[in-house]
Amino acid sequence: MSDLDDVSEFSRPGHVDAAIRRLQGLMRRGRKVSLINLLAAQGYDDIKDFVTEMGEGVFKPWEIEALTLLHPLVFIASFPSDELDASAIANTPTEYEYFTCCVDTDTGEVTSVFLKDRRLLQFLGSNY
Amino acid sequence: MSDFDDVSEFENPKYFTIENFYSMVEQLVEETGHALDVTTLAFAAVTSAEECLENCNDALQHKVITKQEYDIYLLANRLGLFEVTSSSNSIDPVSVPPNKPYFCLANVYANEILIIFMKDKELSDCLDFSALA
Repeated sequence: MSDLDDVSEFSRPGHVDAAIRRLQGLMRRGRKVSLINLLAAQGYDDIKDFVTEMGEGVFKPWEIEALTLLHPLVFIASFPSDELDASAIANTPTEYEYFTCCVDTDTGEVTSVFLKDRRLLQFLGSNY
Repeated sequence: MSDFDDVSEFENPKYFTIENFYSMVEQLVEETGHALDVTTLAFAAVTSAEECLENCNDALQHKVITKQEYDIYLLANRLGLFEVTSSSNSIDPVSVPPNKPYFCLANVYANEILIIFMKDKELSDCLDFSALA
């Protein structure tokens, strides 16, 4: 492979920046993507399958596009707080650079969020 | 440099391994019935060796940890096994330490969670969460 064929250095950062620009366009008027939906969508390789499974009309077109953009850039896991020690790490995604987590003080549910870029957090709904 | 200047052998690097850390924790569990308390782990999960030593000396002096735990914590720091930070609702994302890609969480208070980044997956087995229950 020649040097000209190796585009790996350019692909990832450009992809994240392009996704963020598009999300900024989609998320006007304070729109956010629900963490719950993003978590549920993780079980699917293709968001189209998730949308079909949930039923037509459940999601608005902007939500489907936002979910599609965020799906490869954000990883979410959720645990009941009394299972935190067991939650450990079996499925830790090691390719994400940022991490945050929140606890729902009513239910004790803890949501952990891995992000490819810290700017992505602004697009996620705070309904932890 | 003459042979007399080379003191590296005295450090005995064979003891500064993660395998040795695991066996020390195993021994701690056998003798005390518990692993490393996550609430005291932050003593050793600092970047600076000097700060770790100071923290551990202080904890030992105040009988927060035993000498056995003291040795384990110093080794953990030397090997860079853990990094601990805390989170409450609405915080900024923290960077995942590139050399500590695994994580576990400990619920300290209703809205505060300890985030423990680890160098190795098996390290979570060395932690005791029971004090948080």
